[in-house]
Amino acid sequence: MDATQLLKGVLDVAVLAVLNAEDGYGYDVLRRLRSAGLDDVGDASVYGTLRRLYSAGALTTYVVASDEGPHRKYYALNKTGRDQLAHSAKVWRSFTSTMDDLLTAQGVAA
Amino acid sequence: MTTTDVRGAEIADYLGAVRAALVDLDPVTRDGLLEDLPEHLAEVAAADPEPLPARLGPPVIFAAELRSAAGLAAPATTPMRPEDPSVSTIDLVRSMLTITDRGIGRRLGYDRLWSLITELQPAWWIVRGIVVFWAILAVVDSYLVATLCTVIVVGLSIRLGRTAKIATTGAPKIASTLVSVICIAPLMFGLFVIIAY
Repeated sequence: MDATQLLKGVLDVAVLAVLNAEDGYGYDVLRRLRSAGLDDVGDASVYGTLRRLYSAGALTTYVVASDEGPHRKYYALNKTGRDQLAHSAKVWRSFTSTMDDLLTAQGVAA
Repeated sequence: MTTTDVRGAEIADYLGAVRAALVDLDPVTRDGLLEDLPEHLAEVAAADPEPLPARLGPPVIFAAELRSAAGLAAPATTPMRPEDPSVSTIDLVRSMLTITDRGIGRRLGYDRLWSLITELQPAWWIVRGIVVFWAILAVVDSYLVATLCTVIVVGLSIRLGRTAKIATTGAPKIASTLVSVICIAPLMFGLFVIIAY
């Protein structure tokens, strides 16, 4: 099984979780996801996910001026985003718990 | 043209190619999708000196991934079809090389295979100096003289490799590459002789 395929389904949760910890701009979110162990996550996937979550009303944005580089658009969770994260995290934990139990019951070694 | 100018032009080219691959979207959706991309590409370019297509993949594939992640429908005629003229053979080859580079690299414990090759460069500078040792030995027929000469030649080879690695002009890079190319043929021949006999 390819982790990249799994990642597609849960990238929303990962992005929301990262932004829940701290507001961030696109490149920063990407870097934090990779440093958390999601090495295969692509720039376009993260950037597209941020735009989709923003369009869906789960994120707000604000621009921070920078003297050294381009101005950065920071993304932050709003109430809709926090609710979505709470719901998605619950679904994810329930799903992984069910899968763990299933694999254990079928005698599949960890 | 300064490095900043070059990278600025590179970012504009990459952005233009991504935009072209999303030409079927309505302008408002497309502009919204690409709104922050120039800043993102500038961050990537500032953090990584390698060309954007090597870091991010070909623009058409970046655009397809962006479209998919943003939850937008694929175009009626997908740009991934080989017969589509908007996907050049070069883009496909680049994409394959990027996948191979990252795939093999990660299996060896590196981000990319190229990172490992870069780390091995100093070892190659020494090896090509040793190739010169064989050449000197063939001419002077004296291990002592050849060894003494080789110490100097290996030193020069390392110096040339290092200079080429940090050089901003093309001359040292061309010189270092030329020396490597010249050394590869006798090295291959030597290995063949060792294996064969």
